[in-house]
Amino acid sequence: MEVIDWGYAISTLVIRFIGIFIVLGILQVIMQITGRVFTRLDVKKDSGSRKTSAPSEGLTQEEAAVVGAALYLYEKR
Amino acid sequence: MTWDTFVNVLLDILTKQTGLFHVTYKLAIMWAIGLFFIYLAVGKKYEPLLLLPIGFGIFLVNFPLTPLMGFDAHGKRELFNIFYYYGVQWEVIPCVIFLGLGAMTDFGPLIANPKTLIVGAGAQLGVFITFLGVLLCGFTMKEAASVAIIGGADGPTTIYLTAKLAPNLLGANALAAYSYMAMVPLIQPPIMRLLTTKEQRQIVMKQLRPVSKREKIFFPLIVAGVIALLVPAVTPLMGMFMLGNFMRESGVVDRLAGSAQGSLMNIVTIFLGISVGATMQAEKFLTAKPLLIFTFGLLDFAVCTVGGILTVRIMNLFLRDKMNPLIGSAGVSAVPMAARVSQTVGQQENPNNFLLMHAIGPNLAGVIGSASAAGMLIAMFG
Repeated sequence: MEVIDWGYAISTLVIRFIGIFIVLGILQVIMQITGRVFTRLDVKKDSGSRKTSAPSEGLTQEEAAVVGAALYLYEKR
Repeated sequence: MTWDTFVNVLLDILTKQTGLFHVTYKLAIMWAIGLFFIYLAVGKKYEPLLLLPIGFGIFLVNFPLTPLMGFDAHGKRELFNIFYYYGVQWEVIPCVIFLGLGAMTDFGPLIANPKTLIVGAGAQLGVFITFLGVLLCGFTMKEAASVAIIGGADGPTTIYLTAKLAPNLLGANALAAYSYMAMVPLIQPPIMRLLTTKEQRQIVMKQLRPVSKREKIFFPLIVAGVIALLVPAVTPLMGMFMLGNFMRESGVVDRLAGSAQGSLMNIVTIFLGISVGATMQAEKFLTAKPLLIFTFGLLDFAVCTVGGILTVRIMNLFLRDKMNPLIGSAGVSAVPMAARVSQTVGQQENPNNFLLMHAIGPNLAGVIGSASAAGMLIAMFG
């Protein structure tokens, strides 16, 4: 029968349980950072495309600004 | 030819070439077990994709003299033994199943709310507590590790780890994992109600932000990189999982992604089920260990559920936008059953509360968490 070193078993388990939090915590941080970066990039891209597409849809610059502000407020709500 | 000669030849045929005189009560018990799992699959529709081939494998392999799990006269492996050896023992099938799962999975809810990754970590509590309990019952360290991972509620991970550390327990561990995964709607709700207040169960969570295609493409690369760096032991599983997801999200290899989540997945599922069932031969299975494994498996699921819920409650102490603790139970993995349970229990308290997408986040985090736990256990004992 295998002799069990309980001290080793318990301490290594505790370390490894914490280890899972660390691994997933690192992933979380990376995902949050990349999420923010991509969201900003998408917002920039969207606002760029809005600027270019507004005249073609027959909107004046003021109208486009109002729509943009409304969308911003809607998303922020 | 005399009558005596005829009778002798007949008896010789009956005893040596048929199984009639080799049937024992142990084999009969195994038939009953096999038929029970077939009943669960067909009659109750509990995880039928796996329990059906597993049940049939158990049933078939426990007939005497069947050339299925041994070696023939020339030392060549017999049919089920080939499936088992090249599929499970070589660790091919669990990894291919993970490829298919990756191709099926939309990680959007997890990417939109990465905080839920921590819930997936907290829900691994049962794995480590069960490990100690199993050790106390006289299992070896490797066996205890393989039993403990049942609470991760992830079939391929359980099979992968058990095949590596304690192949003698493969059948019992896989059966316990899949049976309890099917019984998540029965196991979890009482624990969820016990550990949460009515107000907490009614918490309505903020709508998830939309996730861009680019984020979804980068996600598998990031996860694969981080896991390979920090828990290399589980890279075969997680690497394939993320490869499948990358194929899906990249959108340039739809045919490959379709094959991985369709035909390929179905083929390996058949081989996996049969192989697992075939390991459950009477002389190996009918011991006290499988009974203990089923007992500890249940405990494991319960403690993992507790771990997930408590993690959300602790996180809520620091969060501005509170999470509904019911989604914590989904951290045990068992995708998507556990998430559906969160939704069902949440709607019992507030019919206008839709928790499903919020619960998918910890649910998927549970897959990554249980694979990480498996990687840690392999690193310890592998």
